[in-house]
Amino acid sequence: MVGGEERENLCCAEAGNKVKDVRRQSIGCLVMLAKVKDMFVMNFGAVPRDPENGDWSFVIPNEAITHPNGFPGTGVPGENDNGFWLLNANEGETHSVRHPEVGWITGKIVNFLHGYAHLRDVYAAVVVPSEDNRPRLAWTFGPICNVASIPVIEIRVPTVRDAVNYWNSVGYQYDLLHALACVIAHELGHTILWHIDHNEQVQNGEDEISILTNGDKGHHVYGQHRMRCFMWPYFPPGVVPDLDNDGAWDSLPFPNLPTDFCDSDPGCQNLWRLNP
Amino acid sequence: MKLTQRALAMLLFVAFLDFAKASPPGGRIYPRANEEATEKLKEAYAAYYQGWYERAIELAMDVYQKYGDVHARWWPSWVKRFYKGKLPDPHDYGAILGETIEGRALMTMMVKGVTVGSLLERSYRRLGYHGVYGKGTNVPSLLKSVEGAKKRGYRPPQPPPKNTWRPLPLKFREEDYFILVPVEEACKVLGLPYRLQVEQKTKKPIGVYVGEYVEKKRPLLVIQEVLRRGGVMTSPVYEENGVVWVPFYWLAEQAGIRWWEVRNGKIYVAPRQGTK
Repeated sequence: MVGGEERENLCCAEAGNKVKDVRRQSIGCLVMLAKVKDMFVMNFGAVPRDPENGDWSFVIPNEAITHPNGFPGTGVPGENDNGFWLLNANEGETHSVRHPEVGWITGKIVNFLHGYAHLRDVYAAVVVPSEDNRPRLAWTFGPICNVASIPVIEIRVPTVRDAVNYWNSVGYQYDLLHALACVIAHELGHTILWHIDHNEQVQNGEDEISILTNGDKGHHVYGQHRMRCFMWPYFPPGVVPDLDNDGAWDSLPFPNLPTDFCDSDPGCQNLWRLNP
Repeated sequence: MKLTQRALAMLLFVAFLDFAKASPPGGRIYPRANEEATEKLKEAYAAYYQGWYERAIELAMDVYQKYGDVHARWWPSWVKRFYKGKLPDPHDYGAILGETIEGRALMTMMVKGVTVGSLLERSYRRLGYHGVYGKGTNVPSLLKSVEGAKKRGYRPPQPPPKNTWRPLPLKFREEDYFILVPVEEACKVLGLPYRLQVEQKTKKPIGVYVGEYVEKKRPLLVIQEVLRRGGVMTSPVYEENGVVWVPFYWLAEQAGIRWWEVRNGKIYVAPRQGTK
């Protein structure tokens, strides 16, 4: 196994393969692997920026994925008590890639697509930013345990920012980065809790009640499960919309955003599934 | 194990089919908006971002009454103009994700999209209808909530009388319903400090800083990254013949202008209200 430092410097296979292609070199900077807590998350929202400006308003900083209060949180053992990292990165091909901070580096390319992640027991997901203004803050395209597809999640950064601004305008003090980490954690949670349906009686997810009660893909169920968990179906966790139309939320969110998946009710920490 | 781009595209297509069947969290499939509805939602989208919430609601409701809660997706005109390459059908999620993940361009950010419910929820929220939070997935419930608030006597904040508004001596252009202004001229007119960064060889502007630069604090608005990225256009910001065009609403926000409109070929602004 290679150390975390080395793993952090690897760029993805597709972006790093053609080092002579100048255009690809610059675009390749978009594709940073955020090595986090023994897993890979390929972040297509990480564009190189001037850190002094801290201008991350339309993209996803790697810190939203490496955030200590984000995915996968404490207490999650992973499989075989080894966390998520079981891949020997030295098995990849050697390529020179340009790292946005340290310049040219020679590294091992880990091609985790096409089922490789599953063969090697590594958690590997893809995060892409989006500006498609659908009502939800994010969208998960598939589970980690499906070897035929790639777990892709689409994060609507402007919508997340809008939600944070909204709650802050009514007195909350949410940190945008932590909020983004929570949304990403929720979606990454779906990739490993995809097989969980806490309430098979309700399957429709279009109205407020069914969103709160369907329990699909690991969502918590209103009235049954804890509200303080990444898997609460609304953002921010704890909030319940105005179900009786009296002009007030039926439950307000927690003053502090959650930092973890729950260990009971329903116990998201123990329900994960990585392999097919 | 190397993956060709075609194989990756196929994989993503399969992944998308999987997703379409599975209807994952947040993955409701909306009816695709037709041409007429798309055009109206494009206008409503721009109206929302420019602070014209009533207009956004009016247009979205018009679409809703004719076609229901549909989903419009489109390539903005500036993307069509600047992107060198073929753009897929904006509703082709698989192709857009494939292009994004292959590293050609951040297409998930370049394509714009909106649903009727999303626009209504966000616009009503901006007008102070708190009860609509989380109801963008169910328009009837959202409208019921609005009606309830109106019956209880809620009225959104009103702009100052129009006769107090003043015209700005500023040229502008309209692109996909966004009002764009030349940044230097606009900053002068609005009294905003700015700094233009010019590339020595080409003499072309490569960055704009709007607002005071204080050490270790970013200026109010940094346009540098957008210009530098060139082809990856996520916002209507571009350089043309040495002039940098930016959305007027960006600058209005920095100048503390909440109310503005275009009337008789001129931009009119309301007196500042003390809040942004």
